[in-house]
Amino acid sequence: MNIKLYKPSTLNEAVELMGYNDGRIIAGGTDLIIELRNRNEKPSYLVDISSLSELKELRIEKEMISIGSAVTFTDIIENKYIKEKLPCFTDMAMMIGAVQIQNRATIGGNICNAAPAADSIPLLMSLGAKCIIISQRGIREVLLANFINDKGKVRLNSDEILKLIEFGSLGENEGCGFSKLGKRNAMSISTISCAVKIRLDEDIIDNICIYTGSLGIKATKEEKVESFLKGVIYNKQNIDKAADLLSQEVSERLGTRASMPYKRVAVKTVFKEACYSAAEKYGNDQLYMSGGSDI
Amino acid sequence: MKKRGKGIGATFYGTGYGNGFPDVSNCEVELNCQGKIVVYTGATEVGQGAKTVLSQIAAEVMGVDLDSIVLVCEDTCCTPDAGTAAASRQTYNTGNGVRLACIKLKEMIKKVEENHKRVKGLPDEILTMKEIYEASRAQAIILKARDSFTACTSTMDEENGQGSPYWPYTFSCYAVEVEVDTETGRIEVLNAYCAQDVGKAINPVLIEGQIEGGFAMGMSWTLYEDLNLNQGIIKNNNFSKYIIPTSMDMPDICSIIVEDEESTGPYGAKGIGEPVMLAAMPAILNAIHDAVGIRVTKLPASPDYIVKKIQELDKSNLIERK
Repeated sequence: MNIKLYKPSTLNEAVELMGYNDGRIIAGGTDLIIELRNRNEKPSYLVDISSLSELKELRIEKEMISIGSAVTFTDIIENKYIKEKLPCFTDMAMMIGAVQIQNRATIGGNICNAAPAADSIPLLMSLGAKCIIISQRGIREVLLANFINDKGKVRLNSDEILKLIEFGSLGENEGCGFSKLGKRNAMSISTISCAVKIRLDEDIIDNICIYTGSLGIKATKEEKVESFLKGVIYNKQNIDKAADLLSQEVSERLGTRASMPYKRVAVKTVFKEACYSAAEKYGNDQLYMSGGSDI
Repeated sequence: MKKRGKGIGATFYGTGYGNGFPDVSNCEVELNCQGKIVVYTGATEVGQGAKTVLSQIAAEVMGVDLDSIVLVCEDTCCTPDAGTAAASRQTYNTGNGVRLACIKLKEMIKKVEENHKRVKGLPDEILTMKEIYEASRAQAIILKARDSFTACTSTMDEENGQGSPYWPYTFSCYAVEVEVDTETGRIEVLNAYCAQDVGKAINPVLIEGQIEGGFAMGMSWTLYEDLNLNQGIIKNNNFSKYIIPTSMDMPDICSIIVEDEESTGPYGAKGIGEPVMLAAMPAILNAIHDAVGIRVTKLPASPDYIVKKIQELDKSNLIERK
């Protein structure tokens, strides 16, 4: 293996380097290095963006949170504001790989690698995240949900760099939750993941956004379940019904796959956990009021 | 829904090669010019603590500090054969070999010492090991002894089951508490209590380490490890797919050392290397049965398998009620 590595000192230099053809961006390298070793990737040169200060910014404004693409998961875990205002984001980051991976791996890398099991993607999609992309031709903006194309594929031209990801912070009566099922409690690739963003008007579900991960080629918006839950009372019966509906959706989607009989059942718990954690700040009182104690 | 259950598993395990197979451990000991006891034996240290335990046994026989023991092992140029580091046999077999050789050396030392005192006419003089070495040179005696231990087993009579296929046997009983998630099939081991018969605990801290490692290995075997063979090809060929537990998956382990001295063992000790993992599996599977009523008949008890078994049970219960 003999690959040239460029380490630009500014974002402009990096953008210029990507203007020549057949270069690959490397940030944390936690996915790319493995692919290089396995000789699945043969770029003619690498551009290391991991220490570009422009891409390591984590900006939190009143209504908008923006995370530079080279921000590591450890940076996210250690951010006090995120921990306070968006605890599900901290939880998600803590569930990724091992501490060593969290120290190296970046949010931009997790997105651009576009693995079906990527943990940050369903959560960012449910938050309505946008990707800001830079190249010599200028800056463009695209919704994350549209940015990811297929398993391992994103709509990023060879001369472009993902600069940052931004999304609106949670409103007064909004909550967000993330849940992941893996084979063990740490260092685990998700078998199923689910992110839920919910807006409650008293006990009525005013708006809900649900994304599941690891149940298809890319994170999927569960529109049927969303439309079932929109406008109904947030209580245990309705969440259980929604879980059954999701289970049906999943069994249809996975069809004859060997994992279907298991995932069809397990997705219910993952979804319910994400829901409960999204509505946690409301105390989940409604759940108990309507009977049932097995949550 | 999450359901809890408790289970126990009890095992006995014959250590050593067994069935009359020659299970021999040789050992040589000498007193060197620095007054140190040098123990030569072919026992291999693979992390189980053989070097520590064999040195302790030698120090005990010779009545010296551990610092005065030099253990030479794993060097085929100068160490006599002590068999493999397998079958949980090194503490028992080689421990006995070391003990016997040391007893011989001790006798020789005693004679040299007595001779020296008689010649010098100083019956009350106390000699250091270094002085004893020098005395042995003056007496033209080489203080070097060799002995060997063979485990006492015989082939089993196939007709009547009589004989001693293994010697000795080690016993254990583990109890665990688990929590089973009936929808995700995930099993959390909450607590583990591991009672292990060791004969005599020559090094209790090492035994605790062995019990914890053995339980982790047994739990991993029960719940996680799967090669996923497909027509002879290993599909789970790396550690991202071949799952073993992390510290986040392990319960607190309470280890209970049971001492019941084995009359043929070195100071009553027996081997525990393999026995410590055995009871984990039956204990966990019994706890799963206690929690959700299913009998696991295939390993690993993976989440998808557990969910499948629970659904089958629910179905058959439904039919019964009808």
